[in-house]
Amino acid sequence: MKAISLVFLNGTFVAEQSMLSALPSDVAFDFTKGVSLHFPKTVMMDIPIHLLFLTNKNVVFQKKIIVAENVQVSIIEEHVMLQAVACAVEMTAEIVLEKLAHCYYYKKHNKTQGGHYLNSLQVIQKNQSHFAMWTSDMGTTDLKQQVDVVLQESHATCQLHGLYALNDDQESHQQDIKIEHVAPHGTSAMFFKGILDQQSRANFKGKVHVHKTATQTKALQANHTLLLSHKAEVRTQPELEIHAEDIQCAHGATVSEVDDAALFYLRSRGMNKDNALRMLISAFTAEVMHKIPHHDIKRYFMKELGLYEEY
Amino acid sequence: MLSIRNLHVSIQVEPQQSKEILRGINLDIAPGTVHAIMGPNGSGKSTLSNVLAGRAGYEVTAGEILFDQQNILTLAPEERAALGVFLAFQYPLEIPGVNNMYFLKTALNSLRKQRDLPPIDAMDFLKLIKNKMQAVGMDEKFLNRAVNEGFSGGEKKRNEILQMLLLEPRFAILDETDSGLDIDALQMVAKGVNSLRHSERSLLVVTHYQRLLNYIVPDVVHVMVQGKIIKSGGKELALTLEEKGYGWLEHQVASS
Repeated sequence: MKAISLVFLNGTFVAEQSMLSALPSDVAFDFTKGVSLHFPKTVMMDIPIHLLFLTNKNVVFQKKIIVAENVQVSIIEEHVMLQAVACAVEMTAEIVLEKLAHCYYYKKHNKTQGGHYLNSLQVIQKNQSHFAMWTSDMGTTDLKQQVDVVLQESHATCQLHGLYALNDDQESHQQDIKIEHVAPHGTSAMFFKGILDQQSRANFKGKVHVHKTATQTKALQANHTLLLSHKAEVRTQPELEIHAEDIQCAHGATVSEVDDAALFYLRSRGMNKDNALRMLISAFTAEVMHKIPHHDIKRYFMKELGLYEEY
Repeated sequence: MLSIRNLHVSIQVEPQQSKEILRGINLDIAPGTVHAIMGPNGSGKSTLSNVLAGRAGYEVTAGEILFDQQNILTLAPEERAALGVFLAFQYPLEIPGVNNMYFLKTALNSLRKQRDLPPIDAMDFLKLIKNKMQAVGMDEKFLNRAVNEGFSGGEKKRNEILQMLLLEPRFAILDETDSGLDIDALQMVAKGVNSLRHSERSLLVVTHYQRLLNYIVPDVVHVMVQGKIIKSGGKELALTLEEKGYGWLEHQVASS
């Protein structure tokens, strides 16, 4: 995967592991207290930035990203716990998208043994800006994520996608998402899918708040869960709060198990049980993964998730 | 090739109650022959098809199924497929999100792997599958659709036959393949099936109607009623059934 890699160990920038020189010179940055990146109007970001956070102890840090008018950036944020130790990572982040700015944000939490993450992200969107996020959890011991998006000015669009695949007893995943439609003609979509095995737990709370001023809003919300075990547990709570007229909102949630008939169909064609199951899980995730516009990143995510790349 | 001995199969209808569906089936199918099983709805035809292919949810209470003298009842569906057993489903599953071409390629390579053969090259596969699609009159656009998703009844059945042509089983069961097919599709499907007829390959055609047997001409016709084969004969038996209906035989069974 081609990307400008910036590496942080316990929140501290590691210059010798990073490709700072590849960062366009007009990007303003400050890595002394977490991550601060400012992409000015002049910048052309052709390749994604890969923020790699390596952790092996308790750490608290902040991120701030500002994308100026008309600028398009892609950022991959990846979290790796270096050892199987119980430690807590607390992150707060703020992203500001100016007029017509486009930001593709990929967040990937790798499997941990004892990693606890507490994330909060606030996104402020100005006129006609576009924010698209894919957040994935490959089995963090405990991940709590709060996302607040404010569509502050008109014609802003926001798409939040999520995929969580938990397969150990103690793993838990919690999403608390709020999208505030403040201005008219805003469009938002929340699309989260979970695959839960063993005694893992997930909690999805998604809220769309359409203010009185946000006429012509379009909002979509979906949360689908595939349970691979009878002991896994999911709580899903989609919520709409609407104060405006003339809007379109829809929400839905499903919880399902693997279709035995489909599994038999694949096995009768020669696939073993594991591969057949993997094919069905890949299919379940397809709606989320196929929307990733960067081919390299899509492949990277799918490989890490153990999914079939082509289907 | 295939030998079914005194097969009894039950299904669980309630937690403490099971119902016997197959009540002592005996059937011998020699290599290169085509057998047809006809019978009214609920006679156990589809149960037999599913049990042969290894579907879970059926309890075999007695008997055995020998394939090349090996009892296959303990084998997983994929292991039976590797031996050369194929079931063309009565109701092919829709699998949203799985690309049809990828499904077909994975199926072929899974079988090749079980037979210790290397995976087929992508270009060779494309050539092969396009060739087979032509044989069943399927448009190439179906390669890039999700497996059976939104396919019409006829398209699903063609897709089943396509899989059969691709996987080249030694023993294929066609479970009500004629249902939902118009006459053109029926002829095309039959042409595909007939192209596979071979001295080392056998077919079991399960059908409610005689219609399909005009095109896939069987060597032996069996009549199944209430979980038993009550009569076997040549291809002319199918015609007699068409004319007289199943009531004629059911009556014979009742009075015997």
